[in-house]
Parts: sequence; C-alpha cells; structure tokens
Amino acid sequence: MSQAAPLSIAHPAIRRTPSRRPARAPIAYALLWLAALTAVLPFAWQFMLATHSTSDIAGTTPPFSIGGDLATNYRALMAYAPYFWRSLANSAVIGVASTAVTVLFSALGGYAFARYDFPAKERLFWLLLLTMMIPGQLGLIPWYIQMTWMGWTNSFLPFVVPAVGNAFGTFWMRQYISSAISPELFDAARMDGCGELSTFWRIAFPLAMPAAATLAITTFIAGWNAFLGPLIVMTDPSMYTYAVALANLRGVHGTDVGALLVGCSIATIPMLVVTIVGSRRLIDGLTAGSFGGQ
Amino acid sequence: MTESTRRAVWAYLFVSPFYLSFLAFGVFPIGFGFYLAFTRWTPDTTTWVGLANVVNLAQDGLIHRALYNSLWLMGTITVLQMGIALLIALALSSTRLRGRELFRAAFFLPYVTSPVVLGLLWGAIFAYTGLLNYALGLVGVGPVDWLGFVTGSGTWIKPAIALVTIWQYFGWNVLLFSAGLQAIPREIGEAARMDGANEAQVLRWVTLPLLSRVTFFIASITVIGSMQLFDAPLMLLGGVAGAGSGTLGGAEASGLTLAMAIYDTAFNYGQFGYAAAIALLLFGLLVLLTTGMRRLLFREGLN
Amino acid sequence: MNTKRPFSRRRLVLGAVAATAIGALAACGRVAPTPVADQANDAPTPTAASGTGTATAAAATAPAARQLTVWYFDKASMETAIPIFERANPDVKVSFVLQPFGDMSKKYLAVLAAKQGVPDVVGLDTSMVGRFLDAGENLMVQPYDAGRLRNDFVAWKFDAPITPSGEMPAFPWDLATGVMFYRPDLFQAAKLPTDPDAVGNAIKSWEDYITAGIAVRGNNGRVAMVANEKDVFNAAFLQNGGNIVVDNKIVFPSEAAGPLELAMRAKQAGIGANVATWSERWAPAIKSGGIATLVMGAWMLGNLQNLIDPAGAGKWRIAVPPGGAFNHGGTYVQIPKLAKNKELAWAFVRSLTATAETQNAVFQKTGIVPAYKPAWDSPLYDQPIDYLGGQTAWRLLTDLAQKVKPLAYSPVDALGTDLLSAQVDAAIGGKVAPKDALAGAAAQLQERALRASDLKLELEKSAS
Repeated sequence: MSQAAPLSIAHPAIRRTPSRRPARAPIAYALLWLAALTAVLPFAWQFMLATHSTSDIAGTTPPFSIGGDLATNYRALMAYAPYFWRSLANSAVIGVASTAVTVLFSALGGYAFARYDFPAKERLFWLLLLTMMIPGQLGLIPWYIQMTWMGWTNSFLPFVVPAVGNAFGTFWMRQYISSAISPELFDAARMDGCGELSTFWRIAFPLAMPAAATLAITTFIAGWNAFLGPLIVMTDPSMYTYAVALANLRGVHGTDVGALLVGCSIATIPMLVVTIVGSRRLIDGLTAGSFGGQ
Repeated sequence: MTESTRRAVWAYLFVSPFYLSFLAFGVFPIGFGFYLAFTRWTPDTTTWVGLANVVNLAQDGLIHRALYNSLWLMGTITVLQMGIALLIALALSSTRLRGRELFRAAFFLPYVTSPVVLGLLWGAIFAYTGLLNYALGLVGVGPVDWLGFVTGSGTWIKPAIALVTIWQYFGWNVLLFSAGLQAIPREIGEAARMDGANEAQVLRWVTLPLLSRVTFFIASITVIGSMQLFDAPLMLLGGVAGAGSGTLGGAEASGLTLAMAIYDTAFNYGQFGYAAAIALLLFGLLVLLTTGMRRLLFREGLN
Repeated sequence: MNTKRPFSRRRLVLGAVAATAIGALAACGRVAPTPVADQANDAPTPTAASGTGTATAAAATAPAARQLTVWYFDKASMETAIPIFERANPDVKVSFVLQPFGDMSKKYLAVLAAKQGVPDVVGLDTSMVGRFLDAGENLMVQPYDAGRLRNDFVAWKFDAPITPSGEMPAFPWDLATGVMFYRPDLFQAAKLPTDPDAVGNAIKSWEDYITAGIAVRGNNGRVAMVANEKDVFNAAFLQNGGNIVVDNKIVFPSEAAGPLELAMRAKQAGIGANVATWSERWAPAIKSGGIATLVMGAWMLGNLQNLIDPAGAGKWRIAVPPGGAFNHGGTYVQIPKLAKNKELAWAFVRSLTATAETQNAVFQKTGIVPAYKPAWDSPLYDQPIDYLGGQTAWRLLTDLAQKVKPLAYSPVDALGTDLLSAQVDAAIGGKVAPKDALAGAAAQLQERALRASDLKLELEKSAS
C-alpha cells in the first residue's frame, strides 16, 4: 500500500485504437458460433416449451416447435399465483431500488479506495473483501430475527437499505476508477475549486458510468431474482417477489411445468431487455479500459 | 488540519456507508452465525458446546468428502472457465469480426436464465436416457451415468456440475477478459510482431502479463463463487419436480459441496450449530485461498 | 366396513367436538347453528367452556372479527376447506397463506426462531413432521383432548406423530395409501391378467411382481415393469413400516434389509427402466408407455390425470400392491406452541380434519382420501373413477389404508432417510454390498446424530 499512486493508462487515444490484429476468421467464427448457440438455445427452448402443456413437455421427444397451450398454461399460472403480476412489480421495485442504492454507494466507496490515501486503507479494503467470503446460507435466520426486531417484515427495506454495503460493487468500482480514470483529472478539478464531494459527483461518477452500468445490470438481475430473503420476510402474498410466487407452483405431487415455464418466460423478458439495452453500455463500460495494463 | 488529514477524513466519510451498513446488517447475522458454530441450537434452546462441533467436523467423513468436492469443483471450474473465456475473448478481439456485440450479449444469456429452466434443460441432457447419452450412443460411446441415479456411481457428477456452472458463467468472464484485452494498447503487440515474435509468443509474453489485473479480479470472484457453489448441484441432483428433501450430493456424495452441506444440515436436518461449524470451515478456507492467490498473482499489493 | 363402528360412539365424539366449537362460538356472543353443532345438543361435555371465559367477556362488548392464519402448500384443498369453516363461524376470518412446498420448512423455522409471525395452523407433509415435533402444541391435553377422537381416525395415522412421552404435536389430516398403478394394455400384451382383482391375486408377492416384470419386458425389452429398482425398495421398505428411528433405536437396517435384497433381485431380473423417479425423463417414460407399473401413493392419480397424461384416461388401473399395504406421504396439521389463537385454531383443525363435510368436500375436489373414517360413509367413495377406466377404486384405498403397519416419526427422519437413500443407491448400483450399505448408513446416522444433535441412538443388535 505504500505506493498509493494508482496505475493508469497514459494515453486514452492509444487505448481506443482499433485492433489491427489479423483475424483467423474461420476458427474464431466457429468457436464464437458454437458458444453463442449453446448460450441462446435454452432461451429459445424455454419460450417454446412455455407454449406446450406439461403433458406435451413430458412427451417422448421434448417438443421443438410452437405449441397451442400458452393460454391454458397462463390460466393455470394465474390460478396458482393470482398475484403473479403484482409479484413482478415487487421484483421490479427491489431490482431498481437496490440497483440505484448499490451503484451510488459502490461508486462512492470505490472512488475513495481508488483516489485517497488514508490510514488503515489496506486493512479496511481487506475487511471488505472478507465480507464476500462469508457463506450466505447461515445468516438467514438471524437476519430474519433482526428484521422482525426492526419491524421490517413485509417491507422492501431489507432489500434496499443494506444495498448500501455491496462488497463486490465497491471492489469493482475501485478497480475501474483506479485504472481507467486519470488522476490528473481530479487534480485539475481540485485546482478549479471543486470540493471533494463535487469532484466525485461531477467528475468521477460520470466518468465511471460505464462500470456503473455493468454493476447496475448484475445488481438488477440479482435483485429481480431475489428469492430466499423475500420468501422468509414477506408473509403477505401481495409482497412476494416473482420467484417466490413461482415457487408455489412446485406441488407436492408434481409440478405444472407448462405454467411454471410461462411464469419463468414472462419474468425473463425484463432481464433480457435490460441485458440487450444495457449491453451497449455494458460493453462500453468494459471496453473503455477498466483494466488498463497491470 | 493538514491537507492529508482533511483528505483522509473525506475518504473515511466516503467509505463509511459500506462499513456502517455492514455493522447494521452484517454483524448480527454473521456474528450470530459464527456463535452458533460453538453451540447446539434449536429455535427453543441454545447449548454451548465449545469446540465440539469443530472437533466433530474434523472426523466427519461426509464433510471430508464435501471439502474434496468443493476444492475439485473450484479448481476445475476456475481453470476451465477462465481458459475458455480467455479463448473466446481472444477470438472476439479479431478485427474483422462482425456482430461482436451480439455475440457478447448472447454469451451473457445463460447468466439470466432461470434456475427452473436450467434444471429442466440439463436434467434432460444428463439423464441416463437423455440427450447427451443419445449423442454419445451415435458415436458408439456410453451410456454414461452422469448423475449417478442408475449405477450408484458418482464418477461423472462433478464433471456434470462443472459443465453446467461453466456454461452459466463463462459469458460474464468473456466480458471481463474482453475489457482487459481491449485496454491493452495494440502497438505493444504490433511491436513484438515486428521483432519477429509469433502469435503464441505475443500471447505468452505480451498479452497475458498485461492481463494480470483482470486475471486477479476474475480469479477472485470465480474462486469465491465456485467455493460457494450451491445452485447447480441442487438443481441437478434434486430434480425440478422432485419432492425430496436433502440430496446429500447424490451417489457417493459426489456432488456434495460445502455450501450444500451447510444448507442441508441446517434447513433439512435442523442441526444449526453443526452447519455453522461447516460455514466457519468454508469461510476460513476462502480467506486462505484468496490470501494465497493475492500473494501469487499480485505481488505488489492490491493497489 | 362402516358398520363396525357403533353409531352412538360416533355421535358422542362428534358431540364433544361440536360442544367445544360452540364454546368457541359463544366467545363472540354468537351461537350460530353449524353443521357439527346440530348434533351437539344431546351430548354436552365439560370441555365446552374450557379456556373461553375471558374471551366471552371481552367479546360481549366488541364482536370484532377473529383472525386465524393458516399455512399450507396445497391451494385447492385449503381453499375448499376454509369457506366451510367460515360459514359455520361467520365472525372468523381465516387468512390462508399458500407456501411453496419445498421451502415452507425454512420459513417455518425462521418464524419459530424469531418467535414472530408464527401462524395459527400449519399443514405439514409427512416428511416434515419429524423435524417439527418440538414445535407443536401437545393436543393430548386440555383443552384439546385429541385422544377422544382417536377411534374416528385410521389408527396408525393417528398414532404415528405421538412421541414416546405421549405428546401429540400434530394431528392427522389425509392419507396417502400406496397402491400399484398398472397398464392393462401392457399386461395384456404380456399375457397377464388385466382385471384389478385378478391382478391383485396374480401379483400378491414381490416375487410374483418380478416374474410378471420379466413377462412384461418380453422379447423386445422396450417396456419395463418399474421405472427403477429404488421404487421397489421404497415401497417394500414402507411396507415394513419405513421407520428410521423408534424410541431412540435405529431400526431401519432390519426394516430395509429384505427390501434391499428384493431390489437387487429386481435389478438382476432386469425389470427396471433406469429412469430415476421425479427426474426429468421420468414423466416422459411414464407417458410414452415405457413403464407398466407405478407402486406408489394413490395421489399419483392426480399427477397422471392433471399433469403427465391428461389425455390418457383409461390407460391405467389400480390394484393392491405386491407385498401388501403401505403409506406413501400424506399430511398432518400442527398448532404451533407459539400460535396466538390456539383455541380457535383447534376449532379449525377439527372442522378441517374431523368433519365429514369438509373432508369430503376436499376429497371431491382433490381426490385426497381423508384419514377420518366417518367420512367414508359417503357414497362418494363408491363412484367410478373415469381416469381409471371407470374402476371403483376408492374402497380399495380405504381398505388398504387400515392395513398399514404402525410407524413413528423422529427428529432425525430426514437425515436418516437421505443417508439410507444414498447407500441404497450405491448398493443397487453395485458399488457396495447390501449388508454393508445398511450398516454403513446406520453408523453414519448414529455418528451424525450424536455429533450434531447430541442424540444417542442405539443400533439394533440383530442388524448387520
């Protein structure tokens, strides 16, 4: 930690120069297509299966076509989980709110770790990394006990407020800011009379947007898919997240897979949109040079 | 107040939300969890047992098995997933490639696929009468009992779990590697080629060393993630429609990871103290692993 | 069989139930005639007033609606039962929270630990009962006095959750009688009988079953008698009681030895399809006619009819399983010790489990057979089942249900079952000798119970 000066890339212009490496196209394409197909097929399969009855899905050869049972499956879903749409809205609230909080505070903490030198910095950072290594399953019951003490059951607060302390997000933002943003910029800002907070807000945060977008996508997906926490904390079905609502479809004597898949497919669409719309930003975020050199 | 003190105060202010949040929401559940490791706990009673759980852990064959499985999966997944992702990221960095962004978005899809769909899909693939064995049969191999349901042999369970996990997360690693690759100034590679280096040499002596920061980041999150592996084995060995409780990791406990052992022991068998002791073991192991990795990969410290 | 119970006895018990119900109703200053209350007039009992005195005084001034929270993992049955109770008790609002079957126990554990948000009534699957024996109110004592209802229930079902110290922390609801589902078309092709009675007579023992399995497999080998040999083990083990631990003694090695041997013989005979039960290829194998029999709980009818093969009416029949009666699942209801409205909860539990009206309404809706015997008097149980080609199978189920061997639940059921299951898989797969498998599982259970729960379990002397 003695050398506090962060490594950065001297010439952004060079970094953005397009590659002139010759493509060994056939091999590269074959590899990429293979990987892309294995990644996309389950998706196509999921949407197709959602249009078939559970019985058809259990056919000798799983169907690989569009079926006619989408409406039936949907009705079955609504019968099992009448609050399904409400639960999607709940998932959205948790996803969006936790993302906003996480991104803001991760950027702030990451910025401090990247730009400042202060006593016990390395020890504090190591503590932050340690929190990522704690197995999550065990805290579930004491966490619930604490939530009841605080009166936070049947509330979104347990998923939003603790998002302030996201170790992965802080780690990530620190890596990005320390390597992709030139320290001269901050010095210049300070010369111009910017305070510490406004340097962060006006310079660092906007410049870190690409990394923030990446963090936002993964945080949103995690919040959207929240299951165990809401399962325990929400006793009122109108507060369930979609994952909890769908878990009700798994019956003791069998599962209506068709209805379950309709629910899964509907719940996948927002993530798909976020990924595709966000992927432009996401790739920008990553290719803007988060890991310049070593 | 000197300038450096003033700046330090601001820095503390900026990092304090993380630690305050940890104090508020992390300390009690985690502290309570670790306290449990020295007790025998039910919702009604707590009995202090000192190191009994830890001592018992050291003699528990099933936990040894889980430890071995977790380390095996961690090693295999980390090496293969990062290797595959690097290869794909290199292929993606070719200049004349079309649809690069579409490819990257596609690779990210398994990351957002729901566990239900994953369970259905891979269950159908790995079943004894499933798709993979059908394909293998065409070339005269097998059938292989991937999930050990038929022969009681757990030989193929870990490879199956590793395959699913790699499939699910490789796209995320591709993104990170792509970032690292694109941040390397092309001129460095060009210069090496001018000096007569072939592609393999450029990769070994120019590209890989310049990727060490991203490699450390990916290795960290992959090691931490794969040591806590939990979803994939549960999904493969529990079955989508299954009404079973615990799985104990399938045949010969081959798919039992430490995280699964914690979960089963606590929530299916109600032995919370013992589960907490396993969690303590897993935590200690992760600390050792990441410390060692940091030394190995990143000698100059985290900054 | 419904004449075996003297009518007067039944009236007396019903009267007692109803009297307590009236006590609960009177608490809110309202004595509404209810289906059970009709019969109560001639049999008042001392329990009528128990524990409700203070409530009466409070309610006289404020007849506010009383709340009851119920957790269960099946929607159809509970949503049929609740309106019946609410009609009879108009001042009670039952709020039913559907819980995910696989995750309910986690949520239940959490609320028990936090001592907050505990429901008044919880429906537990058989597999969960052992783990929550500690959590339930003992229904054997006043004001519940559940023992008086014992004769109205299938005996083993009523007795199973009673702990060695005589406490009853869970109350019986429905049955999950084990039967043999079979495909008459596949049996016919194998020149086996197809009529349910004839099948039951021809396939009496598991030996008969294996012989029939060889015939079913025939020359082409496309049809298997059973999905996998583990199913044979499971059914045979349950026929022996399927106990893991009884009175702190590990009993499964002796109960499982014969069944495991049997499964090995089934494996040798090659009558299995190598498809794991509940795995992703299981339903396809059943639907495509690759499997001739399913020896499991009668609840499988609902799964076949509603999910796996709705168009397959007439394909399947039910017969007495080889080796005799067994139980495969079913539910209990529990009133948590931490519940707030225990009296009201008990009134609900009785309405749910111990009235023919509710039980038969649920039965009509779901096909789940009640453990409450007076409900069987209804002609509903003589109706043919369309999906089984018009077979009148319900009486077969109720007859079989009474022949199940006594069994007991213990807190280590889940652990023991999982350990046993893993070793049985290994034995069937040929990885370990059957004897070593069972001894190994028993030793593992003994060790883990001692180490993690401080529970000293004895091994049977006769075992291994």
